[in-house]
Amino acid sequence: MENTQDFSPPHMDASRPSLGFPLGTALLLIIIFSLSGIFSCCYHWDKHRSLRRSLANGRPSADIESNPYKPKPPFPEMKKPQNLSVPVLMPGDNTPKFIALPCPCAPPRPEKLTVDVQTPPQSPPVKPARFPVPLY
Amino acid sequence: MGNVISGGSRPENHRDRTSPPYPNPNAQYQGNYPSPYQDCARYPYGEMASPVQYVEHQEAVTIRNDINLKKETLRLEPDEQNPGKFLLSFTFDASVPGSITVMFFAKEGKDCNLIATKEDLFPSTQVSFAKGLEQRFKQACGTGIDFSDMSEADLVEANETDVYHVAVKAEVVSEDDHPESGTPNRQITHVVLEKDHKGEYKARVVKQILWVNGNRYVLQEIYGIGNTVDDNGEDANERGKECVICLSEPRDTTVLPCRHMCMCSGCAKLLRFQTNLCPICRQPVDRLLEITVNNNDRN
Repeated sequence: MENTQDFSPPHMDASRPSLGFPLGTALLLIIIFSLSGIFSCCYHWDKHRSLRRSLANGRPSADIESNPYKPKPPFPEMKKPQNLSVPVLMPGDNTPKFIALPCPCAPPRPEKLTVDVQTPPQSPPVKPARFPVPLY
Repeated sequence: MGNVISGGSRPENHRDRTSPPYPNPNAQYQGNYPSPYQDCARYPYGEMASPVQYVEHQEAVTIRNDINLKKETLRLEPDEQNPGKFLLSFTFDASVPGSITVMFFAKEGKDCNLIATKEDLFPSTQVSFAKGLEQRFKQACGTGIDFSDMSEADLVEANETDVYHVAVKAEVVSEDDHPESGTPNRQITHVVLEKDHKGEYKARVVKQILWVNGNRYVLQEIYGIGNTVDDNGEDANERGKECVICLSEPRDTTVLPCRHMCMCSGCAKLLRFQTNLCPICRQPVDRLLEITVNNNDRN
């Protein structure tokens, strides 16, 4: 009769599973994926911000074709004509291989710049004549 | 072509407005999509309100030049009939007929017009040319430069007073279609004659000036366009033409002022947010110039 004696506590059922292992596993996975998502957002923050900005601005019309060649009359819509560089397409080429920097006409250097500083002869300062002061 | 097709059908327009654009900017790294240049047209960077601290990125308008003097081919050759004289020779491309004027000891006077300072010793010569590529120019016998007529001190003095030894002005014949344009388009090449260690005189191109629609430009080369651009081989075309950042898209963006063409438009757009240094030479970037490569020649 001693062989049939069990050591389990009297109120505890041995068939009931423990809650610690699955709960710990779930929490671990949640933490791993959350941190991974946070770091991924930090890494791709620039793309995310530019994407949101492009979506917020609205999609521009896709029908507008950008004209790759400059028209014959001077370009009126240049914002910075003094600093704007433009690629140059040479005859016979399909790809621009040169860049044209705007270089307005500089005034030519004057030849033999001679500065003649003629100082007039400085006359000595005329002192006022001292009159005798009568001592009354 | 793609834009015209999409513009014709209304359901596609309606669908495009509601859904986000199909070519996702983040999808740049998933490989080449069918038409990258069409995607560039949908996002004109000038319209985006970017902060001032970022590097300016703009899509450029290309100037079409009519005459191009290939400066690597310019050299001095001895005159066979006149010993002691040297003739100027070079190769040039021309898409329209024009004329070439060779001036010795030229100087830029008022309004940047070329003036020959020693016209009596070395008269200027003008030769007309027809339309064509890879044309070869050589001065006529007896019209070259004679070094016995001057000393080395004259060359040094000319350098100090902004006088160029040789100036080649390639000018387009003005057509009657545009009478309002006063000054025709032309290209001016400034050459300096130097003596090498053997005592012979060599020609060196120091500057190339371009006049287009009355505006004056200085021509500078773009680095990064390899010799494989004109190669017809299929394998040679692909080598060396990818972006140095993503290694998949073709290069179409030039970094200024160092003029390195090394990135695609997507990587250049992302580069603005991360750094302001050129990926090739690490110099500070002032602007990013996107150059649209014309694959199908319209002319």
